[in-house]
Amino acid sequence: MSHKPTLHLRDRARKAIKDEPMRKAVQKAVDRLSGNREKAQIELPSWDDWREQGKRIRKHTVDHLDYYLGQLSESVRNKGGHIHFAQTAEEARRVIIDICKKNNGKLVAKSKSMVTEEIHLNPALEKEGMEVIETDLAEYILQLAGETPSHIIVPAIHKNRYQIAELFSKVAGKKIEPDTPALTAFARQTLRQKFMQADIGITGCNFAIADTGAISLVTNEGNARLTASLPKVLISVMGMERVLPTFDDLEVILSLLPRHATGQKLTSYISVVNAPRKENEKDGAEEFHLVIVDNGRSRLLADEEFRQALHCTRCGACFNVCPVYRQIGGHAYGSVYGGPIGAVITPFLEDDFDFWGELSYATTLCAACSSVCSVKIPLHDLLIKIRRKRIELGFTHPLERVGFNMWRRFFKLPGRYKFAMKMASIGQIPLVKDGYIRSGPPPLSGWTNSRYLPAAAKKTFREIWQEKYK
Amino acid sequence: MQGREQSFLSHIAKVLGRDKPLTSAPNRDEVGPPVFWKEQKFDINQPLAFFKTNLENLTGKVYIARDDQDAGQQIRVWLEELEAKRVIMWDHEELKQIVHLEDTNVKLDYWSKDRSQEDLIIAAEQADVGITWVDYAIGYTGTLALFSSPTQGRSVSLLPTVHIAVFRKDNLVPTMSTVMENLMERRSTQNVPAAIDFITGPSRTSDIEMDLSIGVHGPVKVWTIIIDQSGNVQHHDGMREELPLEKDGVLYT
Amino acid sequence: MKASIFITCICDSMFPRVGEAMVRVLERQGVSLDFPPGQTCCGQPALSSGYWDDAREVAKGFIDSFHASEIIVTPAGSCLAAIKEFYPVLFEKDPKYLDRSKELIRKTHEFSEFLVEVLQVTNVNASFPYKVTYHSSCHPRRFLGVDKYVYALLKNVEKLDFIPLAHEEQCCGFGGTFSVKMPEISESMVNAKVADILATGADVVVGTDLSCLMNIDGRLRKQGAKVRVMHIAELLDEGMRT
Repeated sequence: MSHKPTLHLRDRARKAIKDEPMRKAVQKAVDRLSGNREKAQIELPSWDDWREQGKRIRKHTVDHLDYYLGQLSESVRNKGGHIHFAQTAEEARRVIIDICKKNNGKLVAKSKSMVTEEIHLNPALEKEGMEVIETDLAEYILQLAGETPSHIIVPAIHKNRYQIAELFSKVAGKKIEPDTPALTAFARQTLRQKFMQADIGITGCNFAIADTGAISLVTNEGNARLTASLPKVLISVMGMERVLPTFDDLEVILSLLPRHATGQKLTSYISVVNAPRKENEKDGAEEFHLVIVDNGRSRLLADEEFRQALHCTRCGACFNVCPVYRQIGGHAYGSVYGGPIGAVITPFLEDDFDFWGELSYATTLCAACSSVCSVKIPLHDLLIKIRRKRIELGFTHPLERVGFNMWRRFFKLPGRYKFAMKMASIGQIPLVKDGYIRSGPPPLSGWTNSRYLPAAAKKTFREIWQEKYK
Repeated sequence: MQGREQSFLSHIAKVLGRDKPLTSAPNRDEVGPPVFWKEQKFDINQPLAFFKTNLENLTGKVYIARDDQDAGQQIRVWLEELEAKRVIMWDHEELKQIVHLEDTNVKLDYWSKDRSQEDLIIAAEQADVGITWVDYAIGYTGTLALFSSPTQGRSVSLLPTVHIAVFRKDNLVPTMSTVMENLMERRSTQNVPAAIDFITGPSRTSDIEMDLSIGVHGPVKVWTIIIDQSGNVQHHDGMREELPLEKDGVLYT
Repeated sequence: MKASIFITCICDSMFPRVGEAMVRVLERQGVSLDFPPGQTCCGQPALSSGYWDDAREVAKGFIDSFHASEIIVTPAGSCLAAIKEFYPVLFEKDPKYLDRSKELIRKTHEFSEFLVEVLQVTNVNASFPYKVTYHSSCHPRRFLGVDKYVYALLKNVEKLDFIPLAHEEQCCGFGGTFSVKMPEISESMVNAKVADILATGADVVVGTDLSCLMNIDGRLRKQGAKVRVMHIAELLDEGMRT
């Protein structure tokens, strides 16, 4: 069940660029989040040491993922929880549906989870006759609008207050004012009722702790706590790499994730959910299921160069500095995970370097992402390697191949290079006016539609050097 | 299902270049935060100062009480200010000694072992204020760490509109490291709580046009009372038994 | 002090005046320059596009053409950054060229870094009475750390009125083939950069990388704006000659 866009990347981008309100909203959000991260950087001593430590911990864990998942499984079972391993999205959906059906689930309360987006869980549950309600404010808005997230930290940033008020008013059956307090109050009231009624709670998992079997949820709203505390059955879904060895390690990630995501020292709630509840407790889930999902991650794991993409803490810092993201927004990527990290992992998760490999062209390789990554993943490096992989797999335009072939022939020897330069400077003559080429045929037109191209100089530097300095 | 787990883990082992899944703990050079973080020393008053600044920056309130009586009195003052009609509270020894509302019009429910789940949840939902003790308060981030138990319901700090937390200066630790160490110790006696909630300020969101909104699903206000005097109640149920060591005006965690 | 010039194909063919400016500035500091004639291109276009086999062949010739040089200076930060980041990976299975590329990296310097770090010069006795803003190119910034050198040099130029650029570090949208493969995104990015530049009211925007400057200049010219786009070598050279 792949939700592959019909348009190619360039066309999706073109469409997105025309959406001026969306771009303004995205730019406001990323500037604010980036600015806050920078402030946090000033406040925390030895910022880089923390990132280095985070990288070490994630590398160790991912390099020994078989051990830590085995330990996690044992820990969960030892305390009376259930653990399920799902190789594919389909398996994951089936496991979750089975659990819900076994418990006669009617109303499912969900807190924000990217992996449940990835496995397209909601439609599957609804098909089985269950009511699913997203409780994270942004996800709730998106659910009502029938849209997908456009940013991993602030998913509904592309929606303005008027659009949100319209959605809420429809649900309320009366007008809800388009101001933040009114909108928030409506969400609080409406969703509170759902929490009280839900029989199944589904959360994601920021990081599971292998030696204890607990999961941690990093949130600001409180909905994850409610989802994990009130319904009788709790299902937590996790991408298989989202595990840490021990609580000590969690402290490192908690020192990095909120600061990189929003500049906060800690989010309002870090919920360490060590379900099921203990004997005689009166809240907390009575039944706990942890669903561990592969869905293509083992392809990333298998590739030693790309394995480090699994270190990701999902902080979103790369989104916030990406100069391409700020121009096209999240939906143009077309994938569940957008931004720089999404461009790297999606071809692997979807096992498609042809269509999804295109995302590696949605970058100038400026490396802003790598410079801010909370665990120092060299994203720009991985993006270039995806381009290389695409070529190795034969997914590029034959003309481009020929082009670079010719380039190689002419540029590897100085004599041929000089000849090529001479040809270019002669060949351009009909297009040049006052030192610039103002319009040209494709692919040059890609440039000249918006820019002048300087003409090649009459004499190259080396010719001048020969004359003047030799 | 053992079978599915085995094939899942075997696949992972294979792509990592192993014949079968690793079953003995791999060597690690370093665990947890950088060395300088765990070895840092704090002045005796720093955790309190940090806590106050941090929580107040997040719109929280911090009242430093001279003693239990002062604390009890402040709670009554706050409840009046909030026009609270219903309060739910952890069934906690120290709290019960401090919080007295018998002569007020406030209905006080305890999260006690004898009451039914349904009753308790409804009481918490309808409460204007939830009062809890705090297992650890973390200075560096202005955080309250709450451990769940039969008498310490998660709902008390979650469902009511206002959360009031009471603790002693002794419960204050400089960083999260102490809490994590305690949790790791508890592992060995199978005593890790079913829920550990790290609460840093009220519930919030910026999902609507990056406009900050306080109080989405969780409490709208988080007010704390720190009692500047050691208690005389024995802790039980494996809760904090050791006080942080003070020596020469320096706090060792 | 002797140094070899690594001109880069873009400077060679399109902006030889920048090369000349660099020569004048360095000769004024007592540097004696030579030009290894075998140099062509560092291979960055093919490298960035993923055609590593093609890039490797061209890179080998390039590395060899600088074999005899002891110290090398270049006006193009992004070429040097590409060499630094990728040659070791490109040649990781070729010990001979791996060594040679490490050697090349060790002895090559970007122009402003050369002035400040190698020659220990931050004041070239230039006077440039204009409002100037600085676009910090991605690769020189992130892989070579050139910002501090540029600031040090601009600070000592007399009469220069420096105006900081908003979003100084944001990519200008060139990205090599990106500019023709994803032209709408590229245009959107250069528009944002140009808007920031025009908002400063500067007469000149200065930078260290010719591909960025060509991109920004191309957009400014199409819009009919008056802002001059200059390489740091050009600015210093012009400032020295007044």
